[in-house]
Amino acid sequence: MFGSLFWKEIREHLMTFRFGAALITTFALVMVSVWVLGEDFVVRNNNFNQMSDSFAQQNREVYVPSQISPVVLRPLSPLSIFAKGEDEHLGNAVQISRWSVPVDADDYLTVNDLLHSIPSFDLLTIFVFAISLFGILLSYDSICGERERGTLKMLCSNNTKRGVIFTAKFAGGVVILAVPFLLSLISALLVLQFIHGIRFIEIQWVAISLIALLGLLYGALFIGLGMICSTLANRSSVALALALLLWTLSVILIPSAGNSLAATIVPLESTEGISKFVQESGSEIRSKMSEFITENNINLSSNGSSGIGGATPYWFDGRLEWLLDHMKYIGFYEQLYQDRADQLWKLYQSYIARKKEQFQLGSLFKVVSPAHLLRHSVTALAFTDYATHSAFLEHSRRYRQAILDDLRNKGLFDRNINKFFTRWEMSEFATEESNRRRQEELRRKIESTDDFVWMRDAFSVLPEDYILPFNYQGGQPNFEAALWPTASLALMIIGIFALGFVVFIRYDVR
Amino acid sequence: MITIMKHQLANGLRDSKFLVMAALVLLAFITNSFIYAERYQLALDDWQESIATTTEQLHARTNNLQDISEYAQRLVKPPTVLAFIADGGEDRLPNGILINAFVYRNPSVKSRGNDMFALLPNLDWVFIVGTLMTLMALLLSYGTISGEKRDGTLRQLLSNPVSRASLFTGKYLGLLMVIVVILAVGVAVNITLLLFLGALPLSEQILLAIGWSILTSILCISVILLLGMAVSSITHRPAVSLVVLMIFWLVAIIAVPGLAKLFGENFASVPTPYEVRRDLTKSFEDIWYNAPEGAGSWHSNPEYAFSKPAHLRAETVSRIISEDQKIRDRANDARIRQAETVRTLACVSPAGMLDDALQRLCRTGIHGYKAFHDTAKRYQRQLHGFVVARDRLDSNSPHTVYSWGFGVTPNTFSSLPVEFGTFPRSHFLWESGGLYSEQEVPFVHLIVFLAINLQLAIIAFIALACYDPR
Repeated sequence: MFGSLFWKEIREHLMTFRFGAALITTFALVMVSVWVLGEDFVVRNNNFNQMSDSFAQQNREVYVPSQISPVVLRPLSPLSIFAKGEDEHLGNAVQISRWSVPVDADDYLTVNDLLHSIPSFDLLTIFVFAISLFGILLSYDSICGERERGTLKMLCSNNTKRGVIFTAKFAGGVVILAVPFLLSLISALLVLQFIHGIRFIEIQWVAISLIALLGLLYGALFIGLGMICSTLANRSSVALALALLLWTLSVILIPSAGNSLAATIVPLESTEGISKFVQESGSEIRSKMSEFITENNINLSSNGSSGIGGATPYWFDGRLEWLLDHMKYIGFYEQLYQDRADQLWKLYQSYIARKKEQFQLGSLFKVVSPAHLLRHSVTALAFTDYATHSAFLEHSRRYRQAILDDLRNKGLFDRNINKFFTRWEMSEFATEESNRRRQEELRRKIESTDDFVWMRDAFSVLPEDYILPFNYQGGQPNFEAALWPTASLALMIIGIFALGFVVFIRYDVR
Repeated sequence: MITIMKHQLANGLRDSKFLVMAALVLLAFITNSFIYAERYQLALDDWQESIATTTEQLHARTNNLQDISEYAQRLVKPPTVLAFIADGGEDRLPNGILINAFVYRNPSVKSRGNDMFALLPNLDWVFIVGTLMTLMALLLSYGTISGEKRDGTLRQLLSNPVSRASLFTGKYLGLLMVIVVILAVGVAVNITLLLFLGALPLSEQILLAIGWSILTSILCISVILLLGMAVSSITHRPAVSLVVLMIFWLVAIIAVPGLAKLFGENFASVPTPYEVRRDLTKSFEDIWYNAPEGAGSWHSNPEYAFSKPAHLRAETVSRIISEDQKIRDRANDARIRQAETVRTLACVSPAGMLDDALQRLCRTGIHGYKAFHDTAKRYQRQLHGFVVARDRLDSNSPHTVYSWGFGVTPNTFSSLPVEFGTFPRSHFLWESGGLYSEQEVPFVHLIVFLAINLQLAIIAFIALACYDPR
């Protein structure tokens, strides 16, 4: 009995105008967008590779340890075609610097920050709206429509359990809804594979199948919702109004209002305090530095020039006193700036904690919205959510710490600080003879070039293994983060199905 | 006709669909008031705080013209009072600019926005009217003709001595009245609450902007109503007209603005930040390495400032800075152009057009950014002019007014004290009417809306005239 009811449901739907309309609309929207999205990704990926090469080159051109300031990158995820998530506005390059702890990533890629004010468009957006709307349109009259036509009475007068009728109708609706969704998803994948030449790796295929599964769950939820409305209302127009109301609430209103309400209830602090600290601590350090210079009677100028320790043009007149003065001076301010970086990071931490609090409150408001759950889990799977980004930042912070520790272990901030910014051994200054020889050598270089010696003239590049490698495994879908939204979606479906079932059992078919 | 209108109005107001939707819209308007009252207060705090900080910092530097002109002021965009009408994604748009008398840089976001949230439309009027109320208009109008046919009442109606023209006009006006009633109640509640919460400083320009916004909103909803009636008079079953209209709504209201961004990004290209950086380095190297002999040298010795190399250096640095600025400006102009292309493409959709029109009226979004950007530039020119004029008065100055950017380069121009009162301040530029001193009424949008209304009315009327009520 279940089988024949199920097939009847599918056959009936296949003929309807709305099924055709849903199929064509979803397919057309997905095709148009995937075309542009795929192209967009290819361009972005090329830009990324270009950028990555240039940063790698830059990372290699390091002559003294004080110049070590690599730029690390978060690779692009091809799944961003499905869900752009926060990828677009968060940036994916971090410059590791001794004097600051990475808080944000720089955006060398997404070009136009003015477009961040417009919500981004991806396949997920189409699915969030289209699947749910068509789910409702397909199911809002499944019960009361039959009642209006008088067929429900006949159906129930047969020797068929109501549970079977309800389940068959539900299953039929889900299968019918799956057709436009899966068809357009598969065509999109074909376009990406064969026209744009985007290759997904194995783990990404797993993520894509999970996205497909989530889409189906999401669709099933709205089929169930439509059927409940259809059972609660006696007339199909009322059922429709009720279903659309629920749809508006859960898909459009709650996700939007959730964010804004959370931002209203837990407003973020102003960043003025942080800016103030940056400014004040900066001038404090500068005044400490000039105090240090006068107190220790340090003479930094040589031939009227200064500027060493990171600057690309390199002045050095080769005197031992000059080197000793710089060693004292750089050792002094290097520590001050590193301490300040830690203090600033503490300030940022409390700011970020507040942001997280707001975010969690927003998620709490939105947890009743299936659209939010779908978005949340799909962006996590596509590796484009905020958690991914913050994991990358955390990784780059640990990398910075590792570099600092490495430099410290090599004694470059204290006993070997001469090598930190010159690479010269102190022994080279030991004898009168060696001192004079190097001065002679530098003088020749200075005379042969312009008025200063470039670092690349003075030294060779640091060996490649001198700088610790950054090993960040990007592009792995975040299955755990997708787990609880998926579970809640499944729970919601079970709840809605059970509710619809109970209501239908008590339904008056006359 | 009047009877039909009254009947339609009464029907609409009694309808359960209507009541529920009206409650939803009203709720949205109330929520809007609280959200934007808070946001306005925070934005105002930020703005005032930034003015206070800048004032304090500038005040501490009045004893030296060089110091005060090279201090990096952080200009913050004044709060947009009318953001509750058209939000325009203000949270994510740069609203801070680092500026001194020589450079203008780093438009950055300095707001209380949370980048952890995915960007979704905010509960502004554009959303309430463009998304919620258009949906409502569709639900009200999809059955106007085909529904009456199904119920059999259309035949009765037409057998009375009523012309189809007056039937059409009556129905249209009745439906429009329903919508206008909700909009009016919603807006009244919204504005009262905002006034009560002290987040709406009234002025003539602001009232005008609100008035124009209401008019544009009504025209936008009317487009949807007429479309609903047209589809309803073309199809013969309300279920079919509903599906057609819902698909139209999905495509036009939800998909088109997003697609516009996707296409706009590819139509109008902008240089990547990476390319900008490369151009900057290249321009710097071109000038610096081809600079005349001696331009590279520098001494802290005050005597040196009057020498020929010092002047050559000043000239070279000024050229580098101005080229630098040109490259940045070009990139910025390209960005603005691209964003405008996206907005224009989105105008294909009634919601997109409404959004663009209201953003122009309310000076938010890209239009607000442009206004802010232009003001900042104007301020910088004013500041530079002031410094040059001041420097001329000092006979001990070498008159090489230049700077590398935000770092102090001593002994290049006058270092006499400045009276704080005469120093130009950025927020003075905003004071008369603030952002709203220049009203930009989107007449093009209004005319297009009117034209579409007219066209749809004609189509709907013809369809009704040819309609077979049996």
